[in-house]
Amino acid sequence: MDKSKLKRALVVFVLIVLFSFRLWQTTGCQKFKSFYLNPQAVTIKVEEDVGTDRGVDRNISRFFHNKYQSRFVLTVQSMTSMLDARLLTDVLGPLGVLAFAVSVYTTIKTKKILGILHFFIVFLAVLFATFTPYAKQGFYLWAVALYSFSLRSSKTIVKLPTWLILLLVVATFWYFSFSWQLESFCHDIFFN
Amino acid sequence: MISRNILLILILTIAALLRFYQLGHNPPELYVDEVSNGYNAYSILKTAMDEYGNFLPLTFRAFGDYNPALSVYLLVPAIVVFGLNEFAVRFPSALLGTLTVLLTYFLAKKLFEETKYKFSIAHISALLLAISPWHLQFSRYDHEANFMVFFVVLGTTLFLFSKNNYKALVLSALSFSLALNTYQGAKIWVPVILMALVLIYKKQLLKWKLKLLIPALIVIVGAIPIVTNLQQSTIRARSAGIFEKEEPVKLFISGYLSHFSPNFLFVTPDNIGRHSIPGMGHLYIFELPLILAGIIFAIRSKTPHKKFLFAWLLLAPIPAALATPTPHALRSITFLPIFSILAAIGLVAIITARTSFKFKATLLAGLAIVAAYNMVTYFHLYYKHYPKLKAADWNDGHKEMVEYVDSIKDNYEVIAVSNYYGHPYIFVLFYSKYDPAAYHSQSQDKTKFDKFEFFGASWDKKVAGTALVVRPHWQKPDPPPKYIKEIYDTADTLVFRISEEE
Repeated sequence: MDKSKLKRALVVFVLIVLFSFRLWQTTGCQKFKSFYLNPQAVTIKVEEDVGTDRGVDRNISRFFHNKYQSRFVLTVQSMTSMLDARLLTDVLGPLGVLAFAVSVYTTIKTKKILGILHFFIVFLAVLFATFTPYAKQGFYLWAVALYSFSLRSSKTIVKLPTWLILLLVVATFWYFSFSWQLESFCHDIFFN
Repeated sequence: MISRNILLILILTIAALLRFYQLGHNPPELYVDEVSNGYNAYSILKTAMDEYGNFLPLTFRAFGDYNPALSVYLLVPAIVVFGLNEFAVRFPSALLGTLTVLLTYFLAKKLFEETKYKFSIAHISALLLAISPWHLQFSRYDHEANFMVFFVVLGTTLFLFSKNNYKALVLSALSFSLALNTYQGAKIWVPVILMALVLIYKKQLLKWKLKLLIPALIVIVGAIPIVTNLQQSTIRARSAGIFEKEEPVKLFISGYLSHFSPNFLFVTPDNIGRHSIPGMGHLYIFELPLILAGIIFAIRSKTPHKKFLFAWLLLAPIPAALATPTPHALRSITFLPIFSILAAIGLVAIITARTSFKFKATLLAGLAIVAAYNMVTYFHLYYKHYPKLKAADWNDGHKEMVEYVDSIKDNYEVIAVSNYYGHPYIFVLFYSKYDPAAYHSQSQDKTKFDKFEFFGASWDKKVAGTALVVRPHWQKPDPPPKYIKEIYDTADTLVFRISEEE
């Protein structure tokens, strides 16, 4: 095995170790934050909005505030909260975020079908988390999809100077260690 | 050429209409900072001194935060023309907001001058900024940050035009110099964006050799009011900044990233009522796919200004990330007009994509429907919901209270006003158009002036005669006094109870 392939394998291994460490930390989570779009929230939103429209013609009010519009807004809200940069950093760590960004960039630049399909899987995982009430399953599916997609960047990451990769690895481990409370995606954490 | 100019005029007309329509009435009333700026400008106009009697100050003490001066001085001509009222106080912001739309046209055109779509990108960028909820929000109230956006966009545009034009470089330096004196956040944002410009265009700059000294000197002169008042200039930075808080690095990283949250940008805005409309993000949802497409297209494009475009996008949240809370729409107004430009690039990329006409037409028609619905909904929320839902955030009720009190004040020995809502003295000064010259000698004691007294939890009568007392709705003395007036806000919520007490 030549040197660059070995380095690439090492990068993939380190990323897997870091992601596994994060996943191990999540086993302490007793209640995952839910991204589920509750149908009741749609009704409540419509009623609240229509209630504010005092003195406005009912048809006009209904044009702006109806279950379709509210469902659309709340769905986008649920989905975009899963793409929150703070949340992504908490799940992926600094090196993981860089790897994810590089993977997105490479997929756009090269337009390889496998990359596009892989990205589509991440999108499906986001959809699953939005439409399922099972927060834990939703989170794990999404996290694993993110991790696997990030690994696609290894070919580019390996071209970075070794000191920078090492620095990012240390930073990621440090970040995972100090943010063990997993505030952005876990409501209640404790280890037995 | 003519049709391009007509299109630009049309876009500017839309920008102006959206910024000036009902300017004095929505947001429902002047916020306390607007009132303070307005009265200080009035005081400058009448006496050449601020409310404290300082002669033409370089920073305004106001409520102790020593704001940069330019934003107050810019109000003076508007007060001369329109008088001391809501419209006059908000006029400069709306005007500079409209002009920022024009500048965005030139900026986008310059950034993409080497592509054949420069006019399309420029027109669409200007149009998207003209209708941008983020930019409209801050162009419709008097906030220094909006002035900073204008001067930074002006400075940047002139800088990009300065490749073979020395005058443009000098004017650019002057613009950045003025920007430094508009807003607290400019003290961070202006050096950051200037550094990016210098680093990215160093080859272009170095060819001016010694001539560079003049623009550098202009920027340094602009920084003098900050440097000479360093202690005062940094008061706000110290109170809101992250450096005196626990784990500043963590706060910075987390704050920086929060400004790229799609949820903050497109769906759920920050928690401050003056910054956004409930139910809307700071950008339209229809802009989300356009911005993504714009980023992709910009990455792939060969424009020489690509580096600068992305540098702006990545550096913009720095001022906001250095303070709390985050995300913060006002402090990250530095993003404007980059998102409009990126969305414009995205739209042009879709229009010019080499794909079947049917597919493209369907996609664009769908996008147009969503965009139209998005915009109409925004205007409905802004004009119908916002004044009711966020009346309290705009000190609604203070104007009516002061006007009422002012109309009957001669019948009373003393007028006591609760300071529960904060700084009531400035509302009294502003809405009663109190003579600034008469106020200067009384300005140090904020608990009283003339017949007025301002009190906290309870009021004790110290002077003989009948008193007029203004209390927040929940403060109910025992035994109950003789109430003569109740003041409600736009949402029909009781704000003040006014009583007569012997």
